[in-house]
Amino acid sequence: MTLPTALRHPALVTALTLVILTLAWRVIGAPISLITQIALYTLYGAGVNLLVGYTGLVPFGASVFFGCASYASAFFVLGRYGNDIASLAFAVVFSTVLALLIGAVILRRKGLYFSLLTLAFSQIAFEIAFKWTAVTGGENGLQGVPRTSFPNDLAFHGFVVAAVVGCIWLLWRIVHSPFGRVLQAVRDNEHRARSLGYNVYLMRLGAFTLTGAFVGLSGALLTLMLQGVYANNLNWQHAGDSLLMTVLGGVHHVLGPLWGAIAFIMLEDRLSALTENWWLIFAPILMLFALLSPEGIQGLVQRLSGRSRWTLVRESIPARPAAITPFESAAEGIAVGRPLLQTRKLSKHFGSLVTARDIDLDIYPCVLHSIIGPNGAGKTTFFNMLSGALPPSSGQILFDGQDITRAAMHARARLGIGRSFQILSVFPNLTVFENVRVAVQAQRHGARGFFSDAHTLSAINDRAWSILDAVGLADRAAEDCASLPHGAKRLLEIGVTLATDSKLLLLDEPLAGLAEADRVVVADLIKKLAQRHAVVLIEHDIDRVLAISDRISVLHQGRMVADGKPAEVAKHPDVIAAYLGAADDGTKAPPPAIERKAHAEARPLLEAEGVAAGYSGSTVLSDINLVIHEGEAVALLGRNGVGKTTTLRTLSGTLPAVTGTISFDGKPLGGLKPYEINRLGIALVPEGRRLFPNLTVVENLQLASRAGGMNMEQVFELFPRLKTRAKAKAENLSGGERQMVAIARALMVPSRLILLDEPFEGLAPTVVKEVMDALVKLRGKVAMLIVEHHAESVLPIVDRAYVLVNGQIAFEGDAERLEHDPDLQARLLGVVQDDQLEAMLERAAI
Amino acid sequence: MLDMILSQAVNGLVLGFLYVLIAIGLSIIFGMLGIVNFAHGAFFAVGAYLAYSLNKNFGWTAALLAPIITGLIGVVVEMVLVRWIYGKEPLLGLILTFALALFIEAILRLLYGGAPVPFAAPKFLSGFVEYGPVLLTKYRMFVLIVTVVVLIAFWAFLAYTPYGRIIRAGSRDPEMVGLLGINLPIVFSGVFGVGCLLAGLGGMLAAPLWTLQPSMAAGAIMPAFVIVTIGGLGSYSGAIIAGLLVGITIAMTIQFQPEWSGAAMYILMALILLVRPRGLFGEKWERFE
Repeated sequence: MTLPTALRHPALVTALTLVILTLAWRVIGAPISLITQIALYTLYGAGVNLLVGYTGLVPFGASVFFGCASYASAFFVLGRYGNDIASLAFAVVFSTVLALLIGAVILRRKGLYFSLLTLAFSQIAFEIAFKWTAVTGGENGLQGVPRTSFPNDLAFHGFVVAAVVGCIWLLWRIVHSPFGRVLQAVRDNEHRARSLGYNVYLMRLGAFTLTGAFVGLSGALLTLMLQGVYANNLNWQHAGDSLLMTVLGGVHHVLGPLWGAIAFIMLEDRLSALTENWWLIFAPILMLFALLSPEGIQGLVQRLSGRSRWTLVRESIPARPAAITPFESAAEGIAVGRPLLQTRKLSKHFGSLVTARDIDLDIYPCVLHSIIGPNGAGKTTFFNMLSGALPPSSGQILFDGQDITRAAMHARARLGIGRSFQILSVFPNLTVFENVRVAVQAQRHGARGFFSDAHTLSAINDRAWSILDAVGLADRAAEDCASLPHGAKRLLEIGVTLATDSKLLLLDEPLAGLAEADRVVVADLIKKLAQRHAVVLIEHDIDRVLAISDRISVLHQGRMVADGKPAEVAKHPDVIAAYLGAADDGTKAPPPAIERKAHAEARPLLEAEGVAAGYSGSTVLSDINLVIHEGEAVALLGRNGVGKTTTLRTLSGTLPAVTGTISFDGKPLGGLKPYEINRLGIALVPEGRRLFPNLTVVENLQLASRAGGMNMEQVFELFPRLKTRAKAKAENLSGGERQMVAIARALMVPSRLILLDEPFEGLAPTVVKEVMDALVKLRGKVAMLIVEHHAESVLPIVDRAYVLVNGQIAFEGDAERLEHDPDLQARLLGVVQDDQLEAMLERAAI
Repeated sequence: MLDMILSQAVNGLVLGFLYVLIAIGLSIIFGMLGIVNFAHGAFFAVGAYLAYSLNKNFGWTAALLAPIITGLIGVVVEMVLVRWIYGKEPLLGLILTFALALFIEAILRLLYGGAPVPFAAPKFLSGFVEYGPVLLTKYRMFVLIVTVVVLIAFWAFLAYTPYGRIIRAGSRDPEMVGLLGINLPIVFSGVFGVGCLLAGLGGMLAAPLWTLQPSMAAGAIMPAFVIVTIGGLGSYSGAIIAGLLVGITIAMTIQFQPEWSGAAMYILMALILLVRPRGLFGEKWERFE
């Protein structure tokens, strides 16, 4: 449908709107200069929005270009260097150079610092303009700028409208160009754009310079309109004008600056006729917009008509080819027999903490090689060393025979090592197609081209379609990435990784957060990819890993304990021990002697029924049913990634449950805020402790202290070690001491249920004993829910246990029963038993 | 010559401490709420005008209530407006507080007119004091003493009181503070109120020194931004050192290169940020980057 599309071209809409306004103003006989002002402020706003809406930078002081270019134009004409039109050219060049200089220096800073620095520059320019009376006219500015090329106001107005429409047309082309497309990717996910190989700093500098040019032109036009120049536009009170207008109109819409300029200037005109104090009326309008319609005027109109898309670029994507070329990986033609990646005695230590010990690994092409291991085994450290995010302490990494041990991340990307991220890293505001296309562009074209339409680069388009087809998203190519379900986003993410022409794919927990059906789909894709690439996979879904992998390496405490075919690895005694938690050094403290009471007759304190929860689209927990009785100690076990922490988050109120009910002492907890839940008697000892690093031990405890909880003496009785560290700042405590403070903190309030997330994590065996003794002393006095992946350490001190498998409860019963049944433990927590393994491998071979 | 430099340096200290007072308020709002409060200068002006009105009608002892009333106005503003933008896009906070700043200025213009209003220091504080080579007005001496006392008291408040602990903890991990059973919405209102109280106190003290007009807000908000940025977002000692640095810089440029006095602090800020990207003592907080 070409006619409606052409009609929606922003330059055309701008032209029509301005012409209609001009005619209306002529008809009512009002001065045309108001519409001229609207036109040039539209250009000002559009220039600023190139940075805000398209690049994600917020310049508080873009006015520095507006004001300086105004003065440049005035100097040029008054100094008789040329006529008025030539002064426009001069001002644009001046402003562009200024932007390049300022940008080169301040774009190294990010976020708020960048914004404030632009404001500082604008104020400096203001002070110079205001005080240097001899040159700039100071307070009074400069007047009498001749406008010789235009016989009357109307002619000048026509020129301005034409110039503004021309600039909008130019901007529209720029944002669809290869360069403009990259800007938007940088806005959405700077880290991912960088990992694809784009130079983010240069991209931003380019955008900043272009903004300087467009804003400079609008400033120069203002000088010609007023036939004079004044300093007030540089001052902080007016520095925000362009931002205000753009936000009022809608930053996520290309025509936002137009609507914002019209609304702002018309309102200013009408209201200042009513009262000099027109901000009295205008400010509340702005505040209401900020609160109620963050997407501005255009957003408001869109909401009323049912749509809610950003309109920064055209919605369309290039046409799908009749026959999509099948995806050919860059890994074709690699000799299969030789290892592609090799590590030799790879080690990493942080001070005395060793996370990787002499790891020797060979990774072959066309093999699906998985790395598994219990929590803290060092898998992520190993991956980070392979991808270049972390330098190894010793050892070598060879890729295709080349030593890459010290190579930078983007250099490894260029060699052919691609990486997907554990936390989904895509470009949420781009379409599915664009996500992949911009990744392909990084390999082929880079960001070359400010003017041509990126969607006409057919080689890049074809490859993007091939990749989308390979991951199964070809039918969803036109959808916005943000509206995809979690599983599809994961497929997209793998697609973006594929676009990097990698021979080796490092996939970091690609199944994390996926529901069962999605896991099957993604696992199938990974298996297909392994037919052509070398794939290294970290995963916690052991069953699936065993089913699809060609080869498995097991890490435990930084060392490789097993490496071979899935069947061999599953039966390996070291592997089984690693997962079930036998201590490696052979010295294990005997479990404290406790008396277990059946608490089933006691009243239920906490009841969760049918609870489901997740994070932004992903389902982590489904159908959780839990009961904890008064004074009972319960363990929540499961491998990593099954949803144990998510369960605690839901119980403490940080994460709302999607369905199901949770009640505490009969009261439903739904909708209560975390502090209200804490006041009811549930205290959380979170993962990572989360002490306040700038407060001392005593202060951390005092902060939490409430009437009815423990006092300091009782805490020091429970944890004698803390007495000596009472005045130390929390950031200087050891891991064990922090854990003690975290538990003590939960006891400072009158709690009836304490939720503990991995309380023994990262603690030395002697410290574990201290903490365990303290928990044993608490038994019976307060109910506890202890999350652990290390069953052996926690089962001796609890009464009952639940086991989570992939977000659902797979076992519920007495701790004693689980403790004395190693087969049951192995089935739920360790690697799979022989008979089930055979069946699984059989299924996978189909 | 030396006398002049020393006297001017002391004037710079007075100015600096005043700026620090304003900047600290801005900094705790930044730290705990994550909001860039563009309206901070407007609360400064409110404090000044309230002091003027109270003084005119009830004498200067009543004027001492001005900061407290400003703080209460801040609490109301937080509950009605500011709390709706926590966690949302920073640009919205910017627009809201910017519009709020201009709105408050417009109200002041409505109530008091746009022209400057005379406000003299109380009689018993007029005149000069002399300490060796340094010559200072009695009022400036008073301002210096009061600001130092308030800053020490506020530091003690942060270091030793429960509420101060909450503010310090909350600037690092507000979610965890909530998980400990502390009513966050009330804490946030309180912090905003305290920030506005400090701004109002600055206004009350500055009223006899600076011209009392609605646009005086600009004279407070811009130095506050500069100080908080130079000192480092979230650093109490950084704000003090930065404030004194800015105050003395401005006083010295007024004495020796008056045309540059307006631009001086921005140039100082640009130079420091280019060398130390997070300010003198700033810490790496993702929230601000």
